[in-house]
Amino acid sequence: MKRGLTEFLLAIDRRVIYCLVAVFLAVPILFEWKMNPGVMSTAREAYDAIEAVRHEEGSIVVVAIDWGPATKAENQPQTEAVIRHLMLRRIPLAVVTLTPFGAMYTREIPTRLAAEIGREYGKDWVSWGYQPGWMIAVRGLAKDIPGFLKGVDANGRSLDELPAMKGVEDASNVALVCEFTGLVGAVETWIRYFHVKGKPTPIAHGCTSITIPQGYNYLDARQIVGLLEGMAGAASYNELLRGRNEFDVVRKALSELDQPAALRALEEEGVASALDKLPPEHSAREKLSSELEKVNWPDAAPIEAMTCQSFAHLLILLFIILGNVGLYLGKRERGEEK
Amino acid sequence: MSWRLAGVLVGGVATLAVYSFLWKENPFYRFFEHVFVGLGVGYGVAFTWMSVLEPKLFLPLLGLDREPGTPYSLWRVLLVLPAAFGCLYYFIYSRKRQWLARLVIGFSLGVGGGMAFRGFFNEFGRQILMSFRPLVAVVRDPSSQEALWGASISASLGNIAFIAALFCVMTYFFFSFKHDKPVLKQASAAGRWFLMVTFGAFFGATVMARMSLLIERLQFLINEWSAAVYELFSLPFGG
Repeated sequence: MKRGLTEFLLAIDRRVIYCLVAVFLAVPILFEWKMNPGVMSTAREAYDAIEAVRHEEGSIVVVAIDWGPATKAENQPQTEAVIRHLMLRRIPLAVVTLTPFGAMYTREIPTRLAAEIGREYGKDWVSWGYQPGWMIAVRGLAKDIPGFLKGVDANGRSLDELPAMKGVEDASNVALVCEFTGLVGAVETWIRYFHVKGKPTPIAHGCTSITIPQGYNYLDARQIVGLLEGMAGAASYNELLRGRNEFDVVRKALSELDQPAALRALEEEGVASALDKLPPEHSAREKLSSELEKVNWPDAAPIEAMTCQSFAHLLILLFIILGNVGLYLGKRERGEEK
Repeated sequence: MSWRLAGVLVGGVATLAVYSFLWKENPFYRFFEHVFVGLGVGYGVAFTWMSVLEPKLFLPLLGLDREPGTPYSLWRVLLVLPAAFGCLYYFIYSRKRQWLARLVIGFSLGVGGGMAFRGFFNEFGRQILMSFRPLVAVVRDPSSQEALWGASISASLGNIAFIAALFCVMTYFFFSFKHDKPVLKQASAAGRWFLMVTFGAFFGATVMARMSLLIERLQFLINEWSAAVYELFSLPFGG
């Protein structure tokens, strides 16, 4: 019996493992289970960097979509979360890509989000499209943006017609670069070459899970101001955006109710403190709590994906334990035979 | 049937075909593997033509991008020079004239080398600078950055661990003399451990990345593809 168990543990067919992984991943999707993600400090740093950007004429945020279908699973939710945040704050943004496979996303993602949020092309966002040449393109953009783009956007429209591009001349007019990639060398290219007069532009980076350890090198050296770590980073960012929406709902309600003490608590300590400051018998308290429950994640897909990840990690841990138990039993049996 | 529906249906079949490899190698998988490679190459060629060669070379060279009534500037003819120089790369297939391709390769290497030299200091200079850390981290006032009395224990421990790891790993990669002295030997062994932990972190992150790709495909199959299949089968019976 014991020998049978050892043999079974050491010879589980890989296809059984694949099937179990597929089942464990599919269950949360089928039943729409979502666990609240914890907010990662690195994602919060990226969020705070975008919150710190001021809406000024002659200033723009560059969103570099340097990814393609191969890393879409991780990079797309990151990119969407950051573009959504910028559009909600009405910070003008320019999308650009260094890879041909990113070109389709420079059109599709901002167009869809602008339609959803109610933003306008030219005024709230522009597309610089695909720029070939990697380091030469980044260096060219850093030195002279209208010159390198030959005075036109990705659709051939003159930059002079686009209010978002007014006064944008070089890297000094770029408040922040948000770079998303799964490619080796992409973020390095922006770090190395996107600066003017020796002053580097702040960069927030969204990477795939594989390159997280590498991303920490740049974060540690403050070469990037924030890091979205794979799917988990996207989930964290969506949680932060949900918190932002909650904040807006509470602020609006408290302003209407004329509750200055609660409003002050909201600004200084957050939503929970503001609700505590409301008198216990206040009729708005319950209504506000029920309204807050309705505030959802702007994009629930990464939250669902992270729930699946947690299930998969539990399964992997289980298999590691089973494998080690099998190995231990096998060694003990061989010892007994000797 | 709409193009969108057809796209989702084909996408689902292709996804299942690729994952069928996990069971065993099969013609279904092989077919879609070739389709993917063909699509990638075809997209690359078409995209390069549409976004680089046509708008940046052929249209300006032939004067087809001019506003009506504007004269053809002879300076545009100069575009032939970079195009011809780039075409020299194809001499790599000629045994006799292969040296012409080397001109292009040499030029590219020269530009790349020069740019990389400049970029190296921007990237690694700061990282090297930031590796000089105080072993006793002084607490600073976040608003004025003035040093306050006292030290942050967690930051100091972090800095000590960082510097210890840095020295141990550098010792491991120091091959100029034998690691036979006890201190060097121990430091080198510790460096190897630090490297193993880093590789473990990379491996764990890689597993997570692969899971993310699978989850995205499962979300697509369960949410979009299954709905498309349902739509397909309800088409003949619908209004």
